Amino acid sequence: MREKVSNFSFYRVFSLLSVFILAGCASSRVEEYRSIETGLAFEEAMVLLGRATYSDNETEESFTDCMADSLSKGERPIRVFSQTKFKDDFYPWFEPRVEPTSAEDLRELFVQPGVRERITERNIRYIVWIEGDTVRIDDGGTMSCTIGPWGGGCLGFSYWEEDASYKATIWDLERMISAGQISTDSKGTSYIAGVIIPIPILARPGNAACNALATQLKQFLLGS
Amino acid sequence: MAVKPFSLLLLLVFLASCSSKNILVEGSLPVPMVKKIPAVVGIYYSEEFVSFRYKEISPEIGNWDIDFGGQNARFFQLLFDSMFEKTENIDRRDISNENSGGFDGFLIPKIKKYGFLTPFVSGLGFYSASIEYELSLYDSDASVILIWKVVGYGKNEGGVFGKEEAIERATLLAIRDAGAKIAIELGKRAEIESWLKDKMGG
Repeated sequence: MREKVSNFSFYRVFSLLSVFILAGCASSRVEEYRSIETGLAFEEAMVLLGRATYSDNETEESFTDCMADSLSKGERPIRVFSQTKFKDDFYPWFEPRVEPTSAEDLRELFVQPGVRERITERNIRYIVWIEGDTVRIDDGGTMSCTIGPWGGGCLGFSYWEEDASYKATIWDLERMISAGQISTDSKGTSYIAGVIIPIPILARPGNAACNALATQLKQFLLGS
Repeated sequence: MAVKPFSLLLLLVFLASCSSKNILVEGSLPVPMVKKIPAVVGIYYSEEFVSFRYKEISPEIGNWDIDFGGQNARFFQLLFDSMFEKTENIDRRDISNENSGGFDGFLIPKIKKYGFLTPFVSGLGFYSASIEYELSLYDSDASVILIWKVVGYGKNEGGVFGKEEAIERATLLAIRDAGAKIAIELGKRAEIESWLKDKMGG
């Protein structure tokens, strides 16, 4: 009987810990600017491109993958053309060194041999540029861990605060102009408490920003 | 004495981090979409270019062996095939002032330098690679038209256990980056425009 109670307590603590690990708190703020009306026919597609720079700050591929996944699922899924395939199909025009920086550059790009034809073949209506990154803005606390032949353990407490700030710029390839911008800012503080085993309570502001931006982008393109 | 699994795991992780890192560069090879330069060009790919390999032994970052595995040469073959009206692979001896063999010019690509940085060395949060290429273009009587150095740069964030993959990815991006510059800028260079004008008899 005692063993059963012990097992029950273990599972209860384990479940509680899992909830803490998965449900760290992150808050998001979204802003939208629209310059023209938009719409997306069923057979039309969009492509998400992460802005690449040669500095430390570059949109993570995992962020654009997360957004593509979120946009292509749910009630009104959008056909999202693969970023890798797009860059290969339109090489060299979307490499970091030469990629267009404003919607005005589109006209010049569409004059290049084969570009307009390939866009039409693939039925791509929008290019959405994603800019931004997730950075650590604060941290503190101390935790020490020891490993020895007898085993190991941690003791202490530490935290870190992250800020995920991203902007989506939507280019309409049919009208060759910028259709608008959506920006999101998510913040969250994660903790690790070390009581022999380290117990993480993770906020995932990057994930929150991805979901917030994808939801707003879907509304922007399809209407509410 | 029984070895505890945890200690064994730690030992394996330590040994894995000390071992030599062998990287074979692979990945997709895009075909550029650019306006063709109206010229028939013979291209000499040296053995060094075709099977380029970079080795580094460092007490700080360990031993690295990066094999371009023919990927670099295949990429440049596709690049030049789509940039010129017609290309043909030639031998070094074919470039002479006696017989042009019907070519308007000859091109020799070379890798002059390759280097990479890990976050441990650079202090930045990503892996990066750079390649310096040199393109030598000769006209049909083997006189130099252009010697052009192009540097390609690539970077990748990588992960805790993915340093080999990050360097491979950064290297491939560096090849693509240099290719993009060559594809877009070569035809616009004054030396090329002048060569084409001469060829047309203007």
